Amino acid sequence: MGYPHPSHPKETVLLSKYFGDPGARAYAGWVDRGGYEGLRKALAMPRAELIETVKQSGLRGRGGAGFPTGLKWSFMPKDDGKPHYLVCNADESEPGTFKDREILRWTPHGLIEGCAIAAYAIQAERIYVYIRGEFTEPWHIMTRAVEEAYASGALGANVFGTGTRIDLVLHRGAGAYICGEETAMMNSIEGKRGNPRIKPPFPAQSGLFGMPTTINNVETLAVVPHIVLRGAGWYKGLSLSSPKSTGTKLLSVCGHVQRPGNYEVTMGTPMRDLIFDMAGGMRPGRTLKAVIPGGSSVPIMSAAEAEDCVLDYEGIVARGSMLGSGGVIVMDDSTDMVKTIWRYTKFYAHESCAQCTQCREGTAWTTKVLERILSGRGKQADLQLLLDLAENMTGKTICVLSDSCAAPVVSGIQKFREEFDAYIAGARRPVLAAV
Amino acid sequence: MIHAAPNADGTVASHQPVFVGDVRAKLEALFPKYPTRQACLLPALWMVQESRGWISEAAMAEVGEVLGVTPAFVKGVVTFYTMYHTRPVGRHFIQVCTTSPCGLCGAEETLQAILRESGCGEMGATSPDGRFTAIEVECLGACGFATPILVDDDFIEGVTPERVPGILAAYK
Repeated sequence: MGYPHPSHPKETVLLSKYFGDPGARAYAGWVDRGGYEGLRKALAMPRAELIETVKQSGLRGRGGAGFPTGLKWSFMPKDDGKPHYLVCNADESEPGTFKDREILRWTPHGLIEGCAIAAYAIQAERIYVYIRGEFTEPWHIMTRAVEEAYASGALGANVFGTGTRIDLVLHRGAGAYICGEETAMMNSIEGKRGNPRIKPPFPAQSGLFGMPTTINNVETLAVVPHIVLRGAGWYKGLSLSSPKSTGTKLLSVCGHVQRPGNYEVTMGTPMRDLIFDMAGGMRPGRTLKAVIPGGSSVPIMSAAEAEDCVLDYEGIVARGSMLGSGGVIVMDDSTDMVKTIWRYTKFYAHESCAQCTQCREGTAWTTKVLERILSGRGKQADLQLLLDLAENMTGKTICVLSDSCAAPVVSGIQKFREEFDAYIAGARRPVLAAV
Repeated sequence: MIHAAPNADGTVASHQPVFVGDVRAKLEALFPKYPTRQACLLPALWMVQESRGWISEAAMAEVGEVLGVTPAFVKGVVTFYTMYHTRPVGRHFIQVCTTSPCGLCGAEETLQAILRESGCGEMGATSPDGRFTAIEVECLGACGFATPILVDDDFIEGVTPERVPGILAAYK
């Protein structure tokens, strides 16, 4: 449902069904709503069959990269005698994205159940759920839910009497966007600075504590019990477009819409329906100017591109951007694109872990050049300088934070160049003090 | 024996150990949950901050001793993460999201109202009465409910300049 709004007829409510229902938070309430049936069923399945089911469902990672989940699980070594780990990425901090927070707050047992199924599939006896430090309420709700799950036999040394051991540890972050990157997250759990690691080795070979590890996003894991219970064919059937994009997607809509919130749609739903019907469209008298469809790390779409776009992995790529984490940032005609892009680059400059030169220097200098433009002292050559910087920041670093900073700059200059030109020509009043 | 280096504010305070009694027991209860002691570093630092309000150089040295890592390593970790305080802060710590999605919806005005009404005046400063420290932070992950703020552990959504005095009044 479009939490905090009532469900919209164009939504397909699966993960968000119990958002806003405090009764679903408790173990007993979750069981009343059909909870933990998926875990019971999974524990009776051979692991290979379980992984095959998830593969066949077409489920792809909901954290941003869209990697096929069953395939990722299948990379884990079998019966190698080493400890395996599952890490649940609850470090949601991609600007524009606030869906995992609602899963953590309203359906904690749905997430625990999904984690337990995944852990069983990959032969992990221990799960770490990494929750960002700022998520204080989700932390307390998850803490209570984990205690209840242990007390009820859904976690522990003998899950539901099957002899399977599954432990779950909540690990609190401490303020670092980069820890949402999977290898940075592993370092953070190990008690280190959250610097991303060079791949290979990939986590399935050598991940957390050097052991085979799978990292999945909250939304990805939360949907797994539904797939186990209702089957791969059912999930695969939830698609209005490409067979490569299946199921439902939680989309966080924010910015200049009348009803910001989380909307759950079948893959392939038109973006128009999301922005203008579900989220209520623009404020009176305003028109759509631009959309960032997948959290701030993806290219900006013009209004024309957005209005003609299908919401799935392929559809958004065809319109020049990416589904990413599903954080849909909507901007109307009152938006100062140069200032908005500057605020994004400032975010990346602040959040760079600083181990790669291109990122450490590139994010900082990009921000400074944009500040020069916004303070009325920009030069025409600055736009080429920004594009040169962006080129040197793309595909050249250990992780993609640097690329993410470049994306809005490049797409912004391509699509809204006249706004940059206006600042540089002195036709627009400076909005930042000269530095 | 813990040798204290000067704190960020230049003082060298005598350090009462944090990891004794209940806090020690709470930390040791975490040990079986991780294959290494070092992995307890982030949780241990949270315990220091909960107990003392901030993390001094001496506390970093104590954490290092308890977990078997050097004080320099601990400091490297403390300074990497933005939520750990390396100097004392006001009784209530305010974090205001001003990242782009909130920036589109008036976060700057909310931030200015908080700096003014709290008496902090500028970012990172503590009000003269010691009641508040306020900072601007990057995305708090509640972009649909601009502007979200954190006051201590209280996550408050939809904060507008008009709401600021009423919200702050609840924190003495």
